[in-house]
Amino acid sequence: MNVLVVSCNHHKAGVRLRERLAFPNSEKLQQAYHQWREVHPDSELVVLSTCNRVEIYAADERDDASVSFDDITQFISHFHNVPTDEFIDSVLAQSGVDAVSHLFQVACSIDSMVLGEPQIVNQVKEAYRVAQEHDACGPLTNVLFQHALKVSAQVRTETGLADGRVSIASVAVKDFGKSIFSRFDNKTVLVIGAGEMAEETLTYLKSEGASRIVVANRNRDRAERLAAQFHGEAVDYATLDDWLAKADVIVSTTGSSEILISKDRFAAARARSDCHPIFILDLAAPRDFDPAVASVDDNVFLYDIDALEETCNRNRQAREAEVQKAMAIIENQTQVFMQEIYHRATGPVIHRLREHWHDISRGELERLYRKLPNLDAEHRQAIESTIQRIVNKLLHPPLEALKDEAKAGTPEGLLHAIRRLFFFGEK
Amino acid sequence: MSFLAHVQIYCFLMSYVVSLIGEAWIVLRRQSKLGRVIVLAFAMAGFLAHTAYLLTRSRSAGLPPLLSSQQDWLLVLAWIGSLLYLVLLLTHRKMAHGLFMLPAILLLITVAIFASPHATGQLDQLALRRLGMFHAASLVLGIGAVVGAALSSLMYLLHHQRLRNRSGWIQKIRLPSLENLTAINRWMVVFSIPCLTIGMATGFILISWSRGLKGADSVPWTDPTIITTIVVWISMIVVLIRVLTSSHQTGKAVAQLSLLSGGFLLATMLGPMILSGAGNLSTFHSGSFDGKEDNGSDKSVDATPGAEATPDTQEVSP
Repeated sequence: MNVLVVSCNHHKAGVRLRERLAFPNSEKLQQAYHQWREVHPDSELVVLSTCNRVEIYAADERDDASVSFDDITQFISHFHNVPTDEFIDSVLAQSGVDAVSHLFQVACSIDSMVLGEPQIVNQVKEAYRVAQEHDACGPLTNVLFQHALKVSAQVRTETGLADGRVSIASVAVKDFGKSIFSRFDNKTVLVIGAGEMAEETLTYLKSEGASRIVVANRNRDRAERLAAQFHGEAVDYATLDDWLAKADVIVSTTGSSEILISKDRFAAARARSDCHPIFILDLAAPRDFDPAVASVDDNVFLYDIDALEETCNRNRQAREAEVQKAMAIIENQTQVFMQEIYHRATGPVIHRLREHWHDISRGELERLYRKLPNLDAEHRQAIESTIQRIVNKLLHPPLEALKDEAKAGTPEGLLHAIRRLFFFGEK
Repeated sequence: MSFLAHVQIYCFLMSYVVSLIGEAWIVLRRQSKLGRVIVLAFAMAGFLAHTAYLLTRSRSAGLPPLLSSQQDWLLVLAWIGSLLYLVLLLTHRKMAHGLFMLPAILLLITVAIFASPHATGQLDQLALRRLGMFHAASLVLGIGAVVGAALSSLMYLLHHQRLRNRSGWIQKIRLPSLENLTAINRWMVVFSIPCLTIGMATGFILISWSRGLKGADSVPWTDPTIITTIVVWISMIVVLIRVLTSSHQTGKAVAQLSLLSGGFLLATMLGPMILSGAGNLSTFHSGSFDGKEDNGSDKSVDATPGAEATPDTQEVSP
């Protein structure tokens, strides 16, 4: 069994690198799965790409699996046309139990920038769903991701990790938006993009009193759906520049792989406004706004996902006790999961051993019944029970030994010995 | 409560210093309820001592503090600031107003120590006293508003820095939103203009009136206080125009201008007060002006600390 993860996340890499390695939309993901399958047809793959992380989980049930960290980093490098040297020091590479624990931490939002944020569970679910859609999942990733989602639910239920202000949007609005504006009910909020993050941010802005909401999206239908949900207005994407000039708050969350609003474009829009204070929240990865937009004038306050880091660290310190509880659950569940996986590895051998011995006992019983055809049913039953007990007693020591060994990892040596001892001639 | 009659300036000065240290501790080190309680306790103690001191001074002079001396006049300004600080401390507990207001209060009290404790401009008629009171109150409110505008501008600039750069110790300070600070700044500037205008106009009337009674000729235009007041008034008019026509100006530019004019006001107002209190400058308000055009050399009258004016010869001291 082999589980690997290569992760480029907010802990080790800045948004500039993350956006270069991101898989921001379904087209890119489709290409990624297709390319991976061409090179590694037998290995399982799940790509998790969010604003804070780009993670590639590769797994293979075969013990002699050929996928390695180098394969994954090479794949990333070729796919994004980014030399390995430029990101190798900023990625985390883990395997086996560490990789499993990492996924559980991600799914439980322990590894998130905003501790306890609920979006990451949906993002993990979505990544898993997309991988299934592209036939990239297999027995190991299926069990792994399903278990991760269960652990996430358990942590949410049994700890206070998700209590209070826990979404990226809420932290951004509370810590930055409310430092700029004292109220939102007289502000024009422009939302570019109509995804989950846009919805989440609007939910929070709405609760802060935002009433004039404008949604601009390339897909007009999605813009209208989102606008209707928040009693806002969907506007033509072609009029985006007009709204850039009018808006007081801009939330941008598109899946664009290029910069959407350059400094010149924004400056041109800004020149048509009265230079009022403007709060721009760029939650997209890759970013939608050129960072140079912040220098257009002193009343432009542009924040990307990394700007929230310090606030999130304070949030993390305040919840340290809950983190400890969650980590204990994750540690325990990682062990449980690993044992299940190791048992899965020993399962075929145990099954084969049982079958083999029962076949032998059935064969011997048939020979006995042929020699003693006058045995009545009661005697036959007694003999069969005795034989069964003998077989079970003989099987017990090797099976217990396998179970014990499997707690610490796949018992390769023991499995090999059993194969050699009982299935003579098999490899 | 007789001990309140023995309160000295240093009592409340030190209380405010402790409050300021507490505020700085809370901001830079850690938030704690105990820290908040200590800050509040010392601020309240300082305010009570401050009030008692002003009442005692007023009682002994037989006039409201605004009319007794430059020193008391400055202390009234500091007292208003201290009252406002206490209100904000109780209503906006997590905001770091104290870091900005307490230094201004301490500065006013410190300058008051060096300012003349004696009155100027004899107000021996009831009508003159009333006009003097109106003049002093207008100027105190006007100058208080300018100081408020300067402080809100300073907060704005720091908050702006915090929001744009997102690093350093400034991150630890909690301040009102930029929108609120802009509104406070705007209203302070707008409020200061009529107050300063009324204060200045009534000042000229008072000078003309009192000089007429003495047989002197006209307003002493070369008096440092009069020059200062006119310059401050003009500068505030400039700020007001910029504030009211700031639709294409960033809040930062307006805040910088307000801070500059507020700092200018403090320097031009407090500087002459210290100099005249030390007897190095002759002004109409310091009690050293002789009723003729200022030649800058008369330092002999009423410059002795500790002397008290009698009700018959009360003087106005804005």
